[in-house]
Amino acid sequence: VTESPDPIDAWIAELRRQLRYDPFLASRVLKEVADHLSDAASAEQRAGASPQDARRRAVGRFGSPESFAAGLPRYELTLRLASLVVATATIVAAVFIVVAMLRLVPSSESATLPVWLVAAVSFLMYGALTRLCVLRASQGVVESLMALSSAFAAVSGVAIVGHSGYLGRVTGDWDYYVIMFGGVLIAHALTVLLHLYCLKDECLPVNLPGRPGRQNGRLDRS
Amino acid sequence: MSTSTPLVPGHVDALLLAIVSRGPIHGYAIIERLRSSSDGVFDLPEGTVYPALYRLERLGLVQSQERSVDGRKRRVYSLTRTGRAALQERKRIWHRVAHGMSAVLGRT
Repeated sequence: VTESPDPIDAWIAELRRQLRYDPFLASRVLKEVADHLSDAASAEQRAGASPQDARRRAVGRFGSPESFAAGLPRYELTLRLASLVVATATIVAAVFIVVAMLRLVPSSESATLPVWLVAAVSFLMYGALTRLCVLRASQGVVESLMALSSAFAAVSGVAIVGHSGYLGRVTGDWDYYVIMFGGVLIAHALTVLLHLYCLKDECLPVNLPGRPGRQNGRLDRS
Repeated sequence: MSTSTPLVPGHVDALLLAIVSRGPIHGYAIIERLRSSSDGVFDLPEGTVYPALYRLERLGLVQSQERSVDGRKRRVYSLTRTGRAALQERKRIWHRVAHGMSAVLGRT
């Protein structure tokens, strides 16, 4: 004889399945709804229902997991996963640039190495910062890395322009260097834009337990 | 059993803000208090309240944090300063609508 599954456990399992692509949202919603269903079942039991009936009525009052999940802000999934994918790809690109720089760039092109190094570090910082924002690292870590990356972007931006200008003047090959430092500056601009995007509350609307949340785009210091 | 007086989303938001304005409260208690405060008139489908709370939180009208309630960690909601101002505005609009409705319906 197979024992019928507990109605609340089965309901939560189905909701977990519905939210399987959004672990951030699931980690908050599942516990909150489980607490709610537990309270509702206790109330039903106090009103005279048997334990099993009480749990069945509790999920009946709440509605189906499918309709509940459909009402949640699911677009978070796309935003968060897209941010994570882009951040991870950026870190991979940074590693690739460093490896290519060390193994493939001929010694005659060694003058370009600092620029590629800056590009690699920029990509690495952007990737790390975005991942920390999306995964909600502690406020201190995010702010420290943001300050560090901003300072690095400012200093390296000036250095790249000067370095490329110098090389262009020495070699007379301006096209190559304009493209080179132009590309890195575009990467910096994208970094800044994506950092700003990551700080918007629309990107991170849900406070996860035990981690600092945001209110109106600001880190919540409470 | 739900008596389900029809509500438009704006009214649900105003009711939730009003309940939360009385102090930090968790989702289940919000529904209970709404039901008892309205003498059973507003018995919302329970699954509709959380998406509404998440939306209000995203708009910055309520905030939430985990707190110990009766020995259990629960997520409780409270009103932000912006939420308090929004509640006052919705109350003002509601009083005007109610006054106008009473004036028209009272003459029929």
